[in-house]
Amino acid sequence: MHLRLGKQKGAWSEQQLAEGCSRGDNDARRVLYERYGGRMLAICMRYVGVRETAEDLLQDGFLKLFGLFDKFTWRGEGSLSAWMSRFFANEALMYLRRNDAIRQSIALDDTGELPSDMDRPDEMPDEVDTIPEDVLMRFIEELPVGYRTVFNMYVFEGKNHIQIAQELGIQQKSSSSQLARARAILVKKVNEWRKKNEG
Amino acid sequence: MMEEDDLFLEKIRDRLKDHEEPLPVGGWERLQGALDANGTERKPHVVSMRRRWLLSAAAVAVVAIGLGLFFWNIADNPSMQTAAVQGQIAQSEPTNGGDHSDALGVAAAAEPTSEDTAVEDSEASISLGTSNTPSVAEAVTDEIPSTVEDVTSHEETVPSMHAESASSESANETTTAGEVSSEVSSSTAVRQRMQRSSSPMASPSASQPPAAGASFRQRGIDRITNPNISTIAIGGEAKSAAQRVGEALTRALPDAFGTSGEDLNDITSCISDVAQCLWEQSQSTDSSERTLCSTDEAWEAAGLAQLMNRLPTDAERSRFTALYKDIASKIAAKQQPDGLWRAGLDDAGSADAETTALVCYALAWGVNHNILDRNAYRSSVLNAWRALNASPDFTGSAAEACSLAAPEVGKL
Repeated sequence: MHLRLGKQKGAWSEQQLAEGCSRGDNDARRVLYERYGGRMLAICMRYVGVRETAEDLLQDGFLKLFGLFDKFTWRGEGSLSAWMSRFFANEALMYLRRNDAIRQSIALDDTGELPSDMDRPDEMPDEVDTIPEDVLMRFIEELPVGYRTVFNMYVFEGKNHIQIAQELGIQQKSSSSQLARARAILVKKVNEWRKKNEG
Repeated sequence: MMEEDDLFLEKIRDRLKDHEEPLPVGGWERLQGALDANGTERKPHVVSMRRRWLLSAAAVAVVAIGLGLFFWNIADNPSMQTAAVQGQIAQSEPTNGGDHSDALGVAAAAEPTSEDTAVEDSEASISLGTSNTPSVAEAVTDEIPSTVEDVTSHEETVPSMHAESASSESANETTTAGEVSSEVSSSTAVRQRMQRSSSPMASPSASQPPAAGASFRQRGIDRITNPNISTIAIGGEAKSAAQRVGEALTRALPDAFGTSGEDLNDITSCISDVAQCLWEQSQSTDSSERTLCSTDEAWEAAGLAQLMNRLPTDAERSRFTALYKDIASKIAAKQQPDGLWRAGLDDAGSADAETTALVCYALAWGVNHNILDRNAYRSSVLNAWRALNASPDFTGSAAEACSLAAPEVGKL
């Protein structure tokens, strides 16, 4: 126990954490889990939408991640959390792909054109600021899996439709229509929430 | 990437990008239990930082001398060479940070020092052949951790496979790869001679051929020549094979980024493998493999410059000239009016110092070696360099890239 006193939770820099984890230092691993686990869990939740599944992905992902630190190259402050975020987004995506949930859902859904009222519904971006984070998270988690996947890749990983289509094995135009639908649903939910809570 | 007017999506991203969910109760304890149970606990690296520096310095020295012996054919007295090798390694103390500015030059400047240090350090270099320090192949797969794990563990448990796969691979060498791979045998020969003469205690396994070549082929080339590279190898990452190779090359060559030297098992076999990958990549008919954003192209161009800089003959260099010129003209066209490059695919977003510095290095190298037209490229590099110098101080990889570029830009 006395060993831990020297290294309080906040005392580890990102680089020290990475070095500690690649040495297999248990304290470093614990701090890594406690410091970044919440954010990684949120990423998994955004993709899979179910807490139990996301927690399983988190647990399995960390087990795997601890064995991969010799492949991590420090590239400045923020590079560790960026690496981990990509890793967990990828793990979640692979989980969805294994079940082929994305393609099935997109194939079923992709037959019709976009309803015209979904094209650009009323929106007020500033309203997003008034909604609590966990409510916004719930809105995303409630999206159908295909919408949700494309939405996550586009909005949070900054990918374009060419890349998304390639990675998911879907048409580029499916990717953009999935995003448009996801967006329309979210706008609607934001507006509804606002009416209920402020009107 | 996002439509500029899509404030709604941007707002959602900004609100949630750092969102945290509460961790499950007892999560760490379960994780720790699982770690203990399934033995994923890796053997801690007992090698101290100083020691790892020494290993990398030793690798550089061994290879540099191997190249020297082979290409300039000065190996007239084996015992004297061995003494020089020992002296060189002893000299390669990590006192001067990342400044391996020229591996061959360092080798030439070697002076013998005390015998004790020399023996100790040549033992360090012997362990290079068998130790599992990450190779350049792992640098390539750095960003797709989930797919490399099984390959890695396979390698660790079946070391004798290396010899077999290495020899069967070399039997299948194409003529083009064969040209470069002869370097490998020369450096291996030097290493084996060192083992015999300076350390009779070396274990038999230490004289096995280095594993890096074979494993890089398995993990690197197989993946890169695969037409489905973008979906299979990259997984969740949108990077081209060429960028991975370029980045690996730029990072792995120790005089470019000193701290990555430890990632090197055998620099020459890496070069021959990377040369082969890039060559095959350049022959690819699938144009989607070559859709790159500026940062990708910058890495690729810098990697190519690094590679060509090390190829010993013009004939070998000329294999990459077309590819290099092609990437140079593409990336040069993306320079923005302020002299800097952007990181994104569509040249939007804020200026990126790392990308800009890498481009500066790559283009300046080409101009200095008469591969690129001086009139066409010189001013754009100088504009970029001025803009970089006017920017605030850099840290991390941007600073590394700047220090890579500085000597080449200075020669313009």
